[in-house]
Amino acid sequence: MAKKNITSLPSPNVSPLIGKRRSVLFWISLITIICGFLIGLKPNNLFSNNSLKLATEFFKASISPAIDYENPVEGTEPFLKVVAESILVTLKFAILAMSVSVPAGAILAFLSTTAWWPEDIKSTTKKSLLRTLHIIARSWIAFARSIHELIWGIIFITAMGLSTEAAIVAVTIPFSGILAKIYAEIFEEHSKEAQRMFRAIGAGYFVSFLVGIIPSALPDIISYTFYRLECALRTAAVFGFVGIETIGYRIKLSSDEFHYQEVWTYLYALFITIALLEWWGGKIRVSLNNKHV
Amino acid sequence: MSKENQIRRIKELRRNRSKSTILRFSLLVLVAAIAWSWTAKSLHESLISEEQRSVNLQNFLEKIIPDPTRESGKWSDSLPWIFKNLHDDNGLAAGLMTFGLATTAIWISGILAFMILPMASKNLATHRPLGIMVSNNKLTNILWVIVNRASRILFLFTRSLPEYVLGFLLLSILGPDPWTLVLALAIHNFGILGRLGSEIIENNNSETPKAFIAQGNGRFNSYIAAMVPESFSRMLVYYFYRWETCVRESTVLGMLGIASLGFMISEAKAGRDFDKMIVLILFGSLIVILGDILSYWVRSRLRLNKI
Amino acid sequence: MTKPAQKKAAFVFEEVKHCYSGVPALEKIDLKINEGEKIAIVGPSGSGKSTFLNIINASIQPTHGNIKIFGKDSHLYSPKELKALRSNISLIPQNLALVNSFRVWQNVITGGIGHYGFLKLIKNLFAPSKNKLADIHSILERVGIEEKLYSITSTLSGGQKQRVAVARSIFQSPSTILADEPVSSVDPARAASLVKILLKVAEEEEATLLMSLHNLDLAMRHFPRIIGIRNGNVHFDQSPDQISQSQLEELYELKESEILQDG
Repeated sequence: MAKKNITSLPSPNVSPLIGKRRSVLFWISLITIICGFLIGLKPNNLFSNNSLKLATEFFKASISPAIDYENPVEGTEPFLKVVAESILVTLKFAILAMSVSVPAGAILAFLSTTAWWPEDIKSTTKKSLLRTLHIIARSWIAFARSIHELIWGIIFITAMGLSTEAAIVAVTIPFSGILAKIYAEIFEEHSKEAQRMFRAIGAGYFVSFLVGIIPSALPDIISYTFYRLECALRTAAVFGFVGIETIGYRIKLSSDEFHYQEVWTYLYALFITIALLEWWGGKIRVSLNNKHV
Repeated sequence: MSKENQIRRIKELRRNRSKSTILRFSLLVLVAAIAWSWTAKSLHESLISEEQRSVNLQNFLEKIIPDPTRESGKWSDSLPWIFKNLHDDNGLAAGLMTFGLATTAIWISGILAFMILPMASKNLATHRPLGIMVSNNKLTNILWVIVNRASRILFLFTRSLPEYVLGFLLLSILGPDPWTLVLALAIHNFGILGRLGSEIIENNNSETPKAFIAQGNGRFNSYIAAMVPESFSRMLVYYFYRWETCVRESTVLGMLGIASLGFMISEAKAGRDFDKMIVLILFGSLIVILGDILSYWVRSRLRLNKI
Repeated sequence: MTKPAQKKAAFVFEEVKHCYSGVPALEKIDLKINEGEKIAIVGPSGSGKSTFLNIINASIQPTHGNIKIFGKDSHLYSPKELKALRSNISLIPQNLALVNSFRVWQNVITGGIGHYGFLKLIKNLFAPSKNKLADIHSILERVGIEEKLYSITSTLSGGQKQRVAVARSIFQSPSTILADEPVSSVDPARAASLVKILLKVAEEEEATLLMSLHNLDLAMRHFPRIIGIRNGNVHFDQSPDQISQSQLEELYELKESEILQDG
């Protein structure tokens, strides 16, 4: 591949790092390096002898994930069965959380979006009522999102004791907020032509929104919801660390006993589940898009 | 057309309508999955009795009221207490730590993802980059397929592991060092940025990168000199979007036992200082909202091409 | 094509003037439209054609003057009456405003959206009766796309989509059809065929048809009455054989090339 004269190429846009772009990269890197110093990152710590040795040991185990317990105890369930079960529990947790979050998110989105508002409200009381509702919903969404699901989890588990219900509620609060935010954005970005026409031929504003916006927004909403399901699966794994018996719980147990081969089996199982889910979501996205192009 | 004929025709049209098997199948599976998740037995049998639980709840609700207010009954007394708490615990430092972790982590994942991107993008990592035949050697063809698959799997694998799990595993390797948290965030976001980035590269249909390759430049030159400048602001939008989620995530990573906001929260919980715990949580929420606003501001400037 | 029997006035403009935040879009319009008339509205872009149509279905209340809709001043309509009025005036906007993810029959059903209550609408959209489907099938037959009854709307061609919009209008069984430049984005042959279909439908349904058009030739050839609007004023309001070349040229402030192109 001989290099040829590239000065003859068109567009002043193509030189890689000129002016603004270069300075943006420079500032981002400078700030990052300062941050690195401030939080006490020392390159030496990363490459200390001890950590290198442990890392080698850990990654060596990745080549031969366990198919049975590294230290079998009589009377316990077969290892692979436990792996499969932990995946099922993780899936179940994620689906439970999503099946509450999606309706809650849809309602919140409806309350927080202006997409269905009548464009010619005359009564001021109605107007201020809508505004208030809108502001309350938006603030709640921002607040719910700003606290991590794990922290919500700690709050609820401290208050109610460890139970599935507490964990599900904890995940639902921020997840419904995130879903609501994205749903509302999707509603507002969609073309309003049909909605406007339905209004003009005598339909009420709620019906016009329902028939004029929702059907065309649905493909985007489904795609995003599927991505969120993936996130819910990861969150479910993390909730294993507070005691729900998802895959995270098993990872913690195996790791505490330094059974890294078992850990890798769990990691691969999680990876395969998420990869399958993503593949499935991709298929759905393609067939939704085919319908709409 | 007679009525019967018409109805028969309608039925025929209905039978022959286009249907998406995958969508129908997916709907069925989802309904079944939801039914299964709701009916099967509880994931965690609670060992605590109902009475104990209500006692706990009452206890918790009493204890989240700030100490000074509990004594004097006035909420105004709690304001100095809040600031004193945040000051004593080095709240400012914890807040800076949260931002610092996110900033360094996303930088590392950004750089790594940037380097792997051309190998993970279907339109570049092939013997016919951007549709222009470069080599017809069978071995190189196969090699490119392998490189492409491998880097895609690397992205997929890293993003399938949650930050918290990564942090936990890294803790046993690196010990309680800030590197543990930074790398946990960086590894997961490397996978996510990789996916978002390859979408940008694969959707790039402009002629300039093609012209580069047609003139005999390699695909990496075309990537750096044509594709990246063209989609620079879109890439940065994703960079800041992920930075924002890193800030949110780093508020909890400290719970693994490394000095930062999450650690302070779990300490307060362990000490049953629930009032203090709530203050720290709200402080964390403030930091996340601050990060959201900052990232929103940068991203909207990027969209308007001001940067 | 005129139907001389009907004389009842449907829309009467009395010194109608309309301003958008102080800028006049229509200035002093005085005219009368009888029930069952077929009218083309022509004029350059921005001349006030859309405002004119919007005043007719009372989407816009004129800032000055008065319009009588079916014998009643537009500002005297109560919200309920207004809804009833609008549900009888069908609309075909330039972009057609179809719901692309619906199947064709569902889009046709949305024509009745102003007539149905919420529950009836949902029932019709997702579980229509056999008779309803047969009605829709017949309507689609009239516009020549009955084979597309169950197609997904986004998969249709531009011309077919226009016919779906017409079918939706028929389903509404309106007394008036307003079409706002429905043919500006298709080739001349398709445009002519759509105009003919709409005229036929209006004739059969005994509906008043008001269509704004860019294409002068189409208007001159098919419509018995043509209203030319220029700078918010009625420039002419005549039958095509009475309109002189000079009037047409003035309407577009002489752009001979344009007139040639259109013709």
